[in-house]
Amino acid sequence: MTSLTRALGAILAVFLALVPLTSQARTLDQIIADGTVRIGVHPNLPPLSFQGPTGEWQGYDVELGKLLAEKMGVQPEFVATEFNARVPSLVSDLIDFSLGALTRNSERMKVIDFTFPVYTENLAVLTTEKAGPVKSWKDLNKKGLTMVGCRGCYPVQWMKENMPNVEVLVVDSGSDLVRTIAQGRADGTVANLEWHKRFTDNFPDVKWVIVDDVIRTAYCAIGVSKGNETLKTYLNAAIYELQSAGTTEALWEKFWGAPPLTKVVPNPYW
Amino acid sequence: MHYTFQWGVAFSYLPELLAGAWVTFHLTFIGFWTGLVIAVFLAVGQVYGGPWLRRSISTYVVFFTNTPSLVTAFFIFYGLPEVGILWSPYVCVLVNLILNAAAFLTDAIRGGVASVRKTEMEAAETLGFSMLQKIRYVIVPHVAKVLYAPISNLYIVFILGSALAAIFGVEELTGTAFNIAARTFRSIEIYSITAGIYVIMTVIASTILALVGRWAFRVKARIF
Repeated sequence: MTSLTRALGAILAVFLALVPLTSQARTLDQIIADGTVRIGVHPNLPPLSFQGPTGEWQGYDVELGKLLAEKMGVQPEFVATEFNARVPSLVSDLIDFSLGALTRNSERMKVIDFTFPVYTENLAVLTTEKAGPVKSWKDLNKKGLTMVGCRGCYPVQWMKENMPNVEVLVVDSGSDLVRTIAQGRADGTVANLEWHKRFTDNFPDVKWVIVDDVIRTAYCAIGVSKGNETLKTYLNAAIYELQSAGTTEALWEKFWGAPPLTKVVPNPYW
Repeated sequence: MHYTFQWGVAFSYLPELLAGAWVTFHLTFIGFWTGLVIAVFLAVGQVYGGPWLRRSISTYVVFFTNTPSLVTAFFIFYGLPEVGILWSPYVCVLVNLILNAAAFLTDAIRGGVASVRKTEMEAAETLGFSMLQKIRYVIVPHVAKVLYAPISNLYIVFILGSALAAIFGVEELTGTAFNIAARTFRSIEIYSITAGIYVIMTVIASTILALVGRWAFRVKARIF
């Protein structure tokens, strides 16, 4: 057993050695001095952000990131961060700030800081005709039905709390979520359809039903490291300038073809 | 701006993580040992079977030992429904695990089966043993002793590899950790605790395997 104790001791030592290395986030000054800002975006969430066939970044978040970098006078560097990687990437200083539909809530604000809201996401129902007549999410809260969500997304918790009669299946991404409904593995989802609706185009034969009465609106903001005040305040000012000039809304309409379901009111009181 | 670790918050989710660990345990236990039983028959088939049987088994083994288990799991979970086969996430992942374990184990056991002395097999023949009896009384005791340690190691590899089930909606240890991390954003703490649970699970598994090996096959495996 001594070698086990020794092995565990070694693991613990390595771990403790790593703890003080948890990196320190870069301030606005350091980013400007470096000339490059590292922005976390989701790698596969069209039209929010995605990579084209040759790997070039596209989408709303990418355009927004470029505008913010331009204001800072630096080059943007986009870093792929899946839902689950957004916050760890901030904490370990792999990125300076995180886009990628980061929902702001009090639980998460214990860990990172958020700017003012950038856009909204609105919980709505996506199902198929097979599920019978559905007028609201309550019609889906039935025994024997399976609702699907994607791992790392907030609506999974919402479904577990508000739809006690259904099974909640959790898959890996937005495209997987839509595919599981198309294949009949799940009966529907309550999700922020801004991010997932586009994938229904992959299954033209499925009789999709969308009930887009907004169930709940959540605000997505830019995430920064806890306590990174200089960067947060700067981003708040930059967001206000872009929002009050109508730039962000025009950008939204460019990518979604319609205005957002719930608009964000620009806030100058940062 | 240093990150402050909140271990208290993270440890309050321990019961949920342990529930996930239980799923990891029965998933890999059922999957691996079922795979092993299948592998014994496939290995015997590969050594003593006719050319067609041998070729089919080889194709299967080559395919599964040379494709990432993640890819085959995708095929079973998202591919099979296209031809009308819709299994639950647990069954999909379990079937994938069995198919992978059986392939790797067939490869490992085949050499052991081939190394059974011809004279022993002939002796069994003279005694009128059926193929099943030969497997039970001649091949398995011989193979078990030689291959017990590598097979035990492979079991640990499969426990750790079962984390991919999280991608296919199975709420095992890693999936549960992802869920909690998404809720609380305490990813570093949650994943550290998760890693600790995996270490404890594999240490327990190694210990039990070593004790069983000593008792059943007189394999002198060092536990640590």
